[in-house]
Amino acid sequence: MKKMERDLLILSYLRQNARMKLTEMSRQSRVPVSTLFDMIRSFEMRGVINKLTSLVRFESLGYHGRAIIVLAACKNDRQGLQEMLECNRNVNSLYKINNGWDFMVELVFPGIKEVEDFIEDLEEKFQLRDKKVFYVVDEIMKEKFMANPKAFKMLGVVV
Amino acid sequence: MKPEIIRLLNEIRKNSRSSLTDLSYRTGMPLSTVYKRVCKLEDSGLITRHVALIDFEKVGYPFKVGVFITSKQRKDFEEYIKESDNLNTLMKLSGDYDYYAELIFKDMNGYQDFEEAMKSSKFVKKHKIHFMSDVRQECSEIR
Repeated sequence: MKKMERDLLILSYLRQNARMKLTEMSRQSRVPVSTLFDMIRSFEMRGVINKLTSLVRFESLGYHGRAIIVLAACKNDRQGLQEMLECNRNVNSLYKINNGWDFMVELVFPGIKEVEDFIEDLEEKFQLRDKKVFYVVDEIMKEKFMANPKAFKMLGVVV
Repeated sequence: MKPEIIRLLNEIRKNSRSSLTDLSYRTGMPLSTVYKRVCKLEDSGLITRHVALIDFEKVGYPFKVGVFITSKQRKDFEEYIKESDNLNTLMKLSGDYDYYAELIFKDMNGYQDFEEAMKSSKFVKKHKIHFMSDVRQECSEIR
C-alpha cells in the first residue's frame, strides 16, 4: 500500500469514528498499533488533522436558533470582524469565502431572537456592505466526505 | 442538563480522542461515570459522531465549495446530491435557498464537472457557489 493511500485510509477511520480504539483500527487496517499511534500524532503535528471533535444534535441541547450567515464587510473592518467571530462562543464554524463575500458563519443560538440580536450587534460594531441569513431547518448530513473506509477497501487500497 | 454533562460535552468536543482518565480529571466525575455518560450521550443520539476534521488541502483535495441551492423537486434533489462522492455536508434551509451543500474536490476538473451538472440538473432551479477556506470549525461552546 502506498503511503498516501495508507494515510487516507487511516484518516477515513478517524472520520468515521475519531474515538476508534487503535487495536480495532489495527485489526481492520492491518497496520500495527505503534505505527497508527505515530501516524495520528504526525497528522496532528503537521496540521493534517485540524481537530478531533464530536458532532452534537444542537436541537436536543436546546439550541433551536441555527443559521448560516454570509457577510461582506468593508475592507477596514474585515480583520476586526474576523477576530470577533473567532472569539464568539455561538459561532460554531467560520469560513472565508469568495464571490463578492468575505465570511460564511455557522451560528448556534437558543432561538431565532438571539440570532437576530447577534446580527444587529454585528451591524452596530462593523460596517457591513451586505449580509444574508439562512436559517437551518435540518442537518441532513455532516462531515461525511472521506468517512467510509470501506470505499477505500473497494478501491483495492488495503494490502 | 446537568452542568457536569455540559462540561463533559465541551471537553469531548475539544478533543474527542481524550481518554476516559483525562475526561474524568477535567470534569471532576469518576471514571466509571464518565464512561456511562459518554455511552449514554452516544446511544441517545445527542452525540451523533466523533470525527476528525481534516485539512483536505494537505491530503490532495484543495477545493472546498459551499453551494446554496433552490431546488425544483426537493426529495429528488436530496437523493441526487447524496449520490455525489464529493458531498461533505448537507443542510435544509429556510429563506431564499432550500439547501446548503458543502463539497470537496481533488482538482478543478472535478469541480467544473459538478458546476456543469448543477447548471443542467432538472432538480436545480438556481444555485450559488462559493470557494471556502476554513478558519475554525465545531468551536461553539455549549452552555
